[in-house]
Amino acid sequence: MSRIYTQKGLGLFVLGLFFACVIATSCDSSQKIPKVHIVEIRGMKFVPEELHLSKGDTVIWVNKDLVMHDVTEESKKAWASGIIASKSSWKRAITNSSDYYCNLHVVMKGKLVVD
Amino acid sequence: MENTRNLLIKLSRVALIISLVTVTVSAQDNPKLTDPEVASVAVVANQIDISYAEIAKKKSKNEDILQFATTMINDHNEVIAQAVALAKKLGVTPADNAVSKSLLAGAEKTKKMLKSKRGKAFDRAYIDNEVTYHKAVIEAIESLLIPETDNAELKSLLNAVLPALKTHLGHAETVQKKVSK
Ligand SMILES: [Cu+2]
Repeated sequence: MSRIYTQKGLGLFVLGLFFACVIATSCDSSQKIPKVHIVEIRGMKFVPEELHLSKGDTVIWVNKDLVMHDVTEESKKAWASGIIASKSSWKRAITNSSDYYCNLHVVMKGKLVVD
Repeated sequence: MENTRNLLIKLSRVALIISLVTVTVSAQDNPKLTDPEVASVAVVANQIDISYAEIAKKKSKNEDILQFATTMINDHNEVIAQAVALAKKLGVTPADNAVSKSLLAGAEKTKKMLKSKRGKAFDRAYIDNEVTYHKAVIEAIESLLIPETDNAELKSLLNAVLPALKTHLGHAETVQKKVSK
């Protein structure tokens, strides 16, 4: 009998460990839930010009200007939004630090820094 | 309404400054424009830059020039739309006048000059003119119109347009450096 209880006890212990792991894991992953960041495009500027974020976070660019803009990765044109019309937005999940610019107004520049 | 009228007279002085840069106007030729005439000048000043861009799109093969010209067409069309909307709100219908005509006459000369050039010489002439034109318009709006404007709507439109013009100038200067190499 006592052996059975011991086995039960061991079973509960293992079960407890399992849940502890699940909880620990979920706690850990909750710290990594991707965040959403907004970059406003206004007055012909990206605001903020430099944004710090975590890998996998999403950035939404919102065009508050009268004129159209775009968002293009600067080094290799690795990604680009296409035209973002006035009062429209575009979003992208970010995995790498990237410099970007507006291909329609090439002097408009922004920076994403993955910390 | 009296305020609006004063502002529109000021706007006509700005239009005159722009016209002085692009075409020679005699000193005593200082017309007082009506509201509809001023609205016309605002539209014409933007249309002129669009017409230069349309020539560039036909004549240039340079990627930077073509991209810049497309942006000029898009952005100046948007400014025209905003100016027309404000004119409508103020109860004004654009009408031809001496200043808009002199602006157009100056633009005709520039267009003729642009059409006579090819290849790199065209690219340089086009972008040099864009730098000059945007500088003149920015100077006129910044040093004269904005400080003297009391009308909130006009002021906010001018403030909204100014960063775009400055960005165009910066963009034009960047292209100018590349093209002059
Ligand atoms: Cu832009």
